[in-house]
Amino acid sequence: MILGKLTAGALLSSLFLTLIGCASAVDMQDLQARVDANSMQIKKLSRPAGGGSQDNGQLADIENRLDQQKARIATLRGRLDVIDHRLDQLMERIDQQDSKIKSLGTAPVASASPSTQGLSPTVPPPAPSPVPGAGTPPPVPSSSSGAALSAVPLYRQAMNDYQQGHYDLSKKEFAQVVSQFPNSHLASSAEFWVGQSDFNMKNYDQAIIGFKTVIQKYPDSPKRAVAYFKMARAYEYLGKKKLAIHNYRRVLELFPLDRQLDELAKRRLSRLE
Amino acid sequence: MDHRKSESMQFTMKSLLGLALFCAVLFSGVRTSDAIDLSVITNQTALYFKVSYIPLGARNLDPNAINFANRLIPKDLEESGYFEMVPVAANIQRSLSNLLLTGENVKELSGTRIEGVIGAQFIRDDMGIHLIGILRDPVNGSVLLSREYTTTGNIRLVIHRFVDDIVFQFTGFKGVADSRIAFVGKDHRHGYDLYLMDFDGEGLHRLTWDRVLAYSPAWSLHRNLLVYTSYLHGTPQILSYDFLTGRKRPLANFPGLNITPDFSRNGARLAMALSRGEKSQNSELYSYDLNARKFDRLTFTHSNNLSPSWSPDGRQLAFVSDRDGHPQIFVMDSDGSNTRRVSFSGFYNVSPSWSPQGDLIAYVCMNDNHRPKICITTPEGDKHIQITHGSGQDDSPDWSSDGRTIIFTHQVRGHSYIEKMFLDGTHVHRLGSFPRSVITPVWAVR
Repeated sequence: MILGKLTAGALLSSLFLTLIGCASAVDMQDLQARVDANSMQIKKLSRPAGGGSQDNGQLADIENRLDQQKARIATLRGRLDVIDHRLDQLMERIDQQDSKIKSLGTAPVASASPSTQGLSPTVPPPAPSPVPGAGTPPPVPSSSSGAALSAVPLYRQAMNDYQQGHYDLSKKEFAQVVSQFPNSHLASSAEFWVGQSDFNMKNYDQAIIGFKTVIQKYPDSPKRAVAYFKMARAYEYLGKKKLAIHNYRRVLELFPLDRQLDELAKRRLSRLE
Repeated sequence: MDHRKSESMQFTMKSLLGLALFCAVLFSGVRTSDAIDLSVITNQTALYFKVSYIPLGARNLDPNAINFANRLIPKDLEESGYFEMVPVAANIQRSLSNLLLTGENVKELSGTRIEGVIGAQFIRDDMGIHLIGILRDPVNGSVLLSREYTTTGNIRLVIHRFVDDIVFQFTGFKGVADSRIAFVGKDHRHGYDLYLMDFDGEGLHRLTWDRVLAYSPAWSLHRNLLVYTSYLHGTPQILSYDFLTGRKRPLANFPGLNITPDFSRNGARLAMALSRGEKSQNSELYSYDLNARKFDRLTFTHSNNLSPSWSPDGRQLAFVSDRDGHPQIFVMDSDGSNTRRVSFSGFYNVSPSWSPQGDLIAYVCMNDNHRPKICITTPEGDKHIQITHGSGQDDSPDWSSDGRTIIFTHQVRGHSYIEKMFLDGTHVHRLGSFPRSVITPVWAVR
């Protein structure tokens, strides 16, 4: 009961912190939009400005302030990245703690004697005794079994295999993360890497299914924008030009502030159209 | 009623306590990344075989060449990182020579735990120089390797091939003795030029005579090219040096910066940073297709993006960007998408180099005293560790083709030289004897 409440408390606090992260991202986007507007204003001003020295002075001042704002944005973005990274790590720890709590919750506590603490979980459990504490006590899962219940080690193993080019293996492992830990914060990313593993193996049809799942099943996934882009790339490789164009346009429509992806999508579109 | 109220208050207190603990962990002492387990790496790298080398004589070679060859074989075996040379007494040497020639068992070796006895004989004739190499098991006298190597060139070539074969015989891995290292060396007039040397620091060879600032060479053995950044024409341009013809030609000479090139493993693409006349001089990353002769822009950030390093399969790139206010390491797919930051510790992380196995990235980080040191991270950034320590400034890490060792420059009191170490930071030692400062050493990777 208490454990359940503590877990609920931890989840509440994680939600709270996630909201803090979102708010910072929105602020960043707002600030970026303001900088873009200022840049446009400067460009407009510079056209009729001609040669007036006072105007030039004002322009220089605005440009200077703009540069300062840009530097501030960059620093804020850096801090946000670090906070995101820390949040990811904390989410991983919460996942691990959750799995440990679950494993403790499922094990009968009363009948475990100190002499059985080191028993391996692989030992087959004996028949339950009608009297607690009498007869052969059942095994207690060790801490390592708790870690095995978390998505993190499996995800890391899958990523390691992906980085070493073992895409067939990494696909299976990422799929395992998704199927075994559908509520983990790593699930949407794992689903993306399933598609990406297929993409690297040139299984473009399968890759598209993976990227579509990310888009449809995880509306808040950080990998959503790049999933649209990669899906368009996969369609391009399959020779389905119209679908490729459609998905590149979706990148531009849905993620107008993702400058990097937008520019890449524009370039692909200019080649296709 | 009171009981329910107190239970509710208890729950609220616990939730608040949980939140407070959570915040405390988040904003105070949380580690930014887990550390890479160096003990695992040490297990991979500390693979040592105890061997002894016995010279078996020479014919028609001058004494200096014989001494050089007999000194180089044990040196290269040690430099390979797989062997520990066991010195043997004069009387045992005679027994070992006998063992190598006849295969007879040697009782005196029982206490030394020697795992291999290596011998070499050198002969010069009209065909060139011959190395007759032999490797025997000291326990049963069986021949593990027996081969003749011939060269019309330098004696070092046959010694390197012999050492690589010994490494393969013991480990099953291809050795790196036949590979070379390119670097930029300073001359006495403060100019810089390209140099080559063998993996053991021997065989120094000067490639260019430009005497201008140059840095960051990159190999493509597939194309027999070495590209590098040079100020030969006043501005930084990327020049290519053709090993077959010895000719230099500009590969990227756009207005502004043309810097930090890196070849993909198959030599099909060259990644580089170009500012292309931007007023801000911000450099963006481009990928040049050498077959189609076409540039693809990869980054669009209006910040500085440079020092690309390809993953071994050519599907990803690690690079440096100050888009977050400070230079940090990022990784992206080779089409420019899926960018993610991988360094989160400190405000200065530069010069990434992707390992040949693809599982690690070496880079330059700042230690607590604000001195540049070598760190390694996973390509996801979830684990990292600093592997060089002590005084001096370390820079420009690069991997050997077997992924066991890292070379880098170590600067002390204004003078920098090349050092080599295992990737767990052990066995650090100076490589080569170039008399002046060196920058950006790069190992040729097949």
